[in-house]
Amino acid sequence: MTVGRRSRLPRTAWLVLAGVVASGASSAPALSQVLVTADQQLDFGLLTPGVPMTVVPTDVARRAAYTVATRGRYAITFQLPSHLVEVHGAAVPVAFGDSDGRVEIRHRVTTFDPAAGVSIHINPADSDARIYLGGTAQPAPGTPAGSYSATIIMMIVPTGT
Amino acid sequence: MHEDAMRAVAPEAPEAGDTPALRPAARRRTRLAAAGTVVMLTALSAVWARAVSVSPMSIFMDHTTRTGTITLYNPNPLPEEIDITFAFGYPVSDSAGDVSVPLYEQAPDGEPSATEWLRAFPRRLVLEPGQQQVVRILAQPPADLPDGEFWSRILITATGGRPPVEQQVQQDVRVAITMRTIVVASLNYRKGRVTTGLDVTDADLVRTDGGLQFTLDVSRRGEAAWLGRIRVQALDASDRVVAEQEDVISVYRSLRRRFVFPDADGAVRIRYALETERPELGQSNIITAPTVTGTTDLR
Repeated sequence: MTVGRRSRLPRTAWLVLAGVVASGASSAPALSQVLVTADQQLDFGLLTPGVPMTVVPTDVARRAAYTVATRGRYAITFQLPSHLVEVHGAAVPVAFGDSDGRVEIRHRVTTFDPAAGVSIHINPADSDARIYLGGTAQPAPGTPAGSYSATIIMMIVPTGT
Repeated sequence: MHEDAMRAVAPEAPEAGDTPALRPAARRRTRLAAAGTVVMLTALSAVWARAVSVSPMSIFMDHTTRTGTITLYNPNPLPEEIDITFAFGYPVSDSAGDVSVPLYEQAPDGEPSATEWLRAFPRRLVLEPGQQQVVRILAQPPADLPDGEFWSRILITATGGRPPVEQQVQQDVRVAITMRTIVVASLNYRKGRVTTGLDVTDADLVRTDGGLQFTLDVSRRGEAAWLGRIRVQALDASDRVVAEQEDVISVYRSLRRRFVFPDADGAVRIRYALETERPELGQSNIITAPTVTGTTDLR
């Protein structure tokens, strides 16, 4: 399409078109575009000192959940915390097992080790990949009261470019 | 809001075991409470969800303009803190043909890295709900930069712009987990006339428990990354296609790819073709090279 032809369209039409493209109004992700959504945080619920609490990646209410809407081949890796840390230095260990990761692409389900990451391939017919994480919090007996925090980092890298 | 709602929902849980003995009115109340819980959880999920859209995922820059752009968009109702940084990396493969992209803050010696002389404007920003932001990438290469292609990766780090929700786990013990995402886009910077091409260094076809397994090793010629597509067809003794696969492939130095055909009974040969065809990256950004074809017989 030449610039000359394009300029004949009303300016507002191009603005609307640009808005539609940018907003991802289409249900299918645009080519060479990635939309990552962190849908839900990992929720360990009620912790009792001395009692480990496990969240499995099939636990709809408490697992961490991400959606990656795109097409192509990607490597998904995680930087996982080893502890939930309190400001004064107290810590609650957190562990991620080798089946605590789960990927769903349409009806294809893959279980993976979050520490190792996973490769995904989203075909043009697929709209997105759903990625879930479970884990285990292991509060030791006598864990002091306080606010404990940690960060989970998910990295999405295209392996085809 | 999340915390308050969790408190409100929690007292309902112990009643679940009493449900069979409930009277009709109590059952109605329980159903209403359950429905309310679902509504609240759904609303919480929608409110909590955070997102960032990155486009395009591959940036091509040249020495004439020395600029590129990435468009970020936040479609969700919470702000996102965005941080743009650069690292060096390109796809490499292991002995099984699995591909990964190791990232380095500093490029290994001898690599054609653009990482050190790239800048993003703005480098940090808050993406408000519904906001779109163009990030401009500027190159400031050294004056004596030789002709060639130089590589980098752009790391777009998104963190929720509000503190993570604290879950009340005990009267005075709280847990908060921050979820951060890093989307990595590729960047290729070209100066002068650059070429690319591929050599097949090894090809192997065996039958395994998992099916027919084809392994291809390739290495790149020229100065630029080879960006293209591979088509692999499993053929029977009469050269009829019994199965086929296709995938994108990028060769920066050398690469191994493996294809497994679980349902290729009767196949005795593989025919493959590697073409510099990547319309999704903008075909004009692709440096073309002659198509590489070949066949490999079953061992």
